[in-house]
Amino acid sequence: MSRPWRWSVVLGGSVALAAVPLVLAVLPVPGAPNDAAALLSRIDAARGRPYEGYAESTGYLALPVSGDFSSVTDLLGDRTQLRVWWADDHTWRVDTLSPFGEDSLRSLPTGTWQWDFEDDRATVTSGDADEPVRMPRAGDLLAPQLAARLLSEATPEEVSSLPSRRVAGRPADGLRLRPRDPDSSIAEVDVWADRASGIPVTVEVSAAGASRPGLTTTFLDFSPTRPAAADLSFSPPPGARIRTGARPDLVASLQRFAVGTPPASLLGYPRQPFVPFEQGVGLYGRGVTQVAVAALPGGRAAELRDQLQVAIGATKLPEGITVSVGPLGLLLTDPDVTGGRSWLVTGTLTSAGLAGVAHELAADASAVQHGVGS
Amino acid sequence: MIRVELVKLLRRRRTWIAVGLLNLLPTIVAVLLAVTGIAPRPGQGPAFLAAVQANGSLFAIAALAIVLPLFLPVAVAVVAGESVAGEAQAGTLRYLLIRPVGRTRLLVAKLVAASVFVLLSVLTVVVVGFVVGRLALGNAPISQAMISVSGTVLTPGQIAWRTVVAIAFVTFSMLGVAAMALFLSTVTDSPQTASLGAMALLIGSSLLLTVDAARPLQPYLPTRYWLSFVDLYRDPVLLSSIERGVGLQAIYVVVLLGAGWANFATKDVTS
Repeated sequence: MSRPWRWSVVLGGSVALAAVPLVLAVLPVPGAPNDAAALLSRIDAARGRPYEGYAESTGYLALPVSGDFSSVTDLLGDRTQLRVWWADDHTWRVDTLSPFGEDSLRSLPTGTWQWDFEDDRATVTSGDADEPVRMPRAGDLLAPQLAARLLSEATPEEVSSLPSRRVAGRPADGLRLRPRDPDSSIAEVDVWADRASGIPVTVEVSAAGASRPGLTTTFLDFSPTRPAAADLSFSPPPGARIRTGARPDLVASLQRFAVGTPPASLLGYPRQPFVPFEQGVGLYGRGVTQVAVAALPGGRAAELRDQLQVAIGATKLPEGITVSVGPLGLLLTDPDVTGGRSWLVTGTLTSAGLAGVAHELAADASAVQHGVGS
Repeated sequence: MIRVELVKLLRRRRTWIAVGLLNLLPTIVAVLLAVTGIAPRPGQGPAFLAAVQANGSLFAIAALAIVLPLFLPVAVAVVAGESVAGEAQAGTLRYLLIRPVGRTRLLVAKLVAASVFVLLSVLTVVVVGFVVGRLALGNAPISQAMISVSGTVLTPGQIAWRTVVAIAFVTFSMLGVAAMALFLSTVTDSPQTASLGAMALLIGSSLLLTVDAARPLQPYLPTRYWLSFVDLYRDPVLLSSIERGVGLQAIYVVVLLGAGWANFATKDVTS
């Protein structure tokens, strides 16, 4: 075989090998085009079904926060590799993998166990791992959990079909949710659900005007089967440090910093009943459009304003200073505009939506009056 | 031919110097950990190193993680880069090819010799790491010596087979580097150039793994799955990345060995 022929064989073989993943990606998945409304119902019906697998989430949202919120920054701005064994909403195990070790969280009938390999520490907390208000955790990025949250109030009129694709080697049918709310900063939520089980296996969240999804989560291996009891159970290994954990009271933490009473409704959304107190933080919204507001004390507001003024992408509006990271927006209102108080407004709203909230807070004289009195 | 190459490899003094240097770094780390008692913070430093203070036996795997990202591939690049170019530079390649053996067989023999060097290096790093770890960092009974990454106790049998597979995986992961250096060794008469070329590939790959904009490329980078041997110590074992790593390395080996063959089979040998 001559030299040109040998090189042709090697180059041809190399191109063929490189093309395999591309060809597999574009190969059509057999099956009739799916009906988006029917798929939405199937996804809803599959909630709570058992499954297990290996997933990867990739976020491109560089949040300008640190300290206590660094875990959230990592979740939304980095790649997270997860293993999950999900028996039901109260019995599950989610491992966050790293090249150095593993951080495992298990919700079991006996309590919630957290195992940190590198710290050689097991922490047990009594009761269910879920609370109405808590910090985001890695398991929230799993496609079934994220889709359940984002599609919770979707209507058949808001969804359309997407071409089917293979996820983790299995056929999956897709739908696209386009929120109807003009103030929503989320343009599209694309969800692919496993055809056999209806369990979501891929979710992609795109901000308005973005060229690529700001958050993607997908299974690399997936099986809609009930995990073995041995994979869920946990006994602290000999020699490990064992601690009894106290559940962080996020509501109380937020309440310490909030000094005003949020209005009963904003942008036409009533205040959600999850936060069980009259003063402090107000949550509003529907489906993927969510907004939280809290009035900050003068010192903390000034501190935050100083940080935001030097943050990349910060913009000065007549209503205050704002920063947007993908679909997440944050506005610290100017106290001259909002009745002498600095309100922190954050959520999946456009700049116009954030400004609209500021105007409604300014107009809500009773809220301001309550805040002064507190 | 393979036997000749193996004998040549094992008789070279620099082979054993390279193996010795590979073991020196983990040994220094173990001694420093034992003397100072300062382990890296969780999430910092090579895999398992934060946990070796509690369990000296884990240092066998930590030693592997210490040498894997840089020192082992550099040693492999040097040895494999010298395979053909070293003979050319020494003026012995012409005489080597006078023998009635095909050039393809010669290339395969060189790759086998490089593979044996990798296996030898990995085995000594694990054994020396285990001995040094137990001597310097604690010698709990073997039956209770190892906790899996997931927090379960591994039996000696489980530890044994997982470590054997880890050694095989790390060895196989290095074959891509060896094949790259071997290909470059057929292109140039300078072994240093061939080794540096292979190292440039590794450094480029490692760099791209840290760049967010390169995420679509990352599953295809040669160093992407190297540290996945840690997955063998999870419970249950996670095989996804191991399988992907083996597949990716196999493709690199086939393509680069093919390129070496295409270039070397009828190359004019003047030195």
